[in-house]
Amino acid sequence: MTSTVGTRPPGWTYNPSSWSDRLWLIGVAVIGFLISGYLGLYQWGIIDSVWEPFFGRGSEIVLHSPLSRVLPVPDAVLGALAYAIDAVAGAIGGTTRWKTMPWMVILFGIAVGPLGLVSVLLVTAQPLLLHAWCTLCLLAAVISVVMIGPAMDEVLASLQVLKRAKEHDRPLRTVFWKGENQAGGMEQMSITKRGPRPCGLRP
Amino acid sequence: MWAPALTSVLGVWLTAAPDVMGYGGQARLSNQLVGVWMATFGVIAMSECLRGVQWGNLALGVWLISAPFLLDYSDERACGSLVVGIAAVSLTFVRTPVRERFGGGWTSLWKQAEQ
Repeated sequence: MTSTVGTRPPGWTYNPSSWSDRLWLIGVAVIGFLISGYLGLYQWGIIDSVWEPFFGRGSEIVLHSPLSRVLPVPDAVLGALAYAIDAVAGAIGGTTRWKTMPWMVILFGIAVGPLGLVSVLLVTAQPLLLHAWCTLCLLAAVISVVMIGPAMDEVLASLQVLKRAKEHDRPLRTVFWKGENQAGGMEQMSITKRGPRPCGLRP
Repeated sequence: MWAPALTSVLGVWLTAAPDVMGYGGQARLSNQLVGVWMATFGVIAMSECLRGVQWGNLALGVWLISAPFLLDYSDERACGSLVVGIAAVSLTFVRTPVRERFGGGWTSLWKQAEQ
């Protein structure tokens, strides 16, 4: 962990936005994107067959099931999109983005957390509705789940920033989009001297 | 970290068991659904900041213990369900040392909101 005191959130023993915490998440998201993209190309009919080493026709059944076409776009294509958002939203911002860019961290958290759980729901649908398993779908779901824990710490730090802003009557929307005062560090919990507060922005 | 990791291994086993052992019915469905979520919660709870997610596996473990009685199946499927259920429940009570601190954690978000 290369974090210094100034980049750590107050009361934290490490910096959740450090590159050592984020780089591998970005790498894993890229792998998820490639797998989902491959499955999406198969669902679109651009690729004729799909790799399935264990479950016979399982992948075909799952990937051509009515459930996978509930939305106008095949579900694996949406999955690929979600992984792309994971990777991009994971990469944008410096090592203090938990306080300088809360909105980006929270966007990242939504793409990793709730959307990751959707892929688990899709996995449970495989035996429940289709009585079939799909190897690469399972692998993609594993990737989604592995990302959740390591990504959520950063989200927690950003939510704490917003909580502090609310407690100190600072404009929540400004903090959400523009971040806590750049000077803020461990010692500066209450940031009051910021010039005139914009009217009408109080939460 | 090893307790939630072990729980997720149990979840993977539970998911695969109906196919490996070759049984069907409600026991199959119950185990596959519970297994997927047990593995999921276990992996998520391996992260220190989300260690609390393992309480989800306590609920799943309790379900596994009661499932043979509620769904009315016996034989080796019931035995497996009981064993995995008891193991999962026990593993949620294993105290693993937490190395990091998180500024009060998730509870800090709603604690002392109104002063």
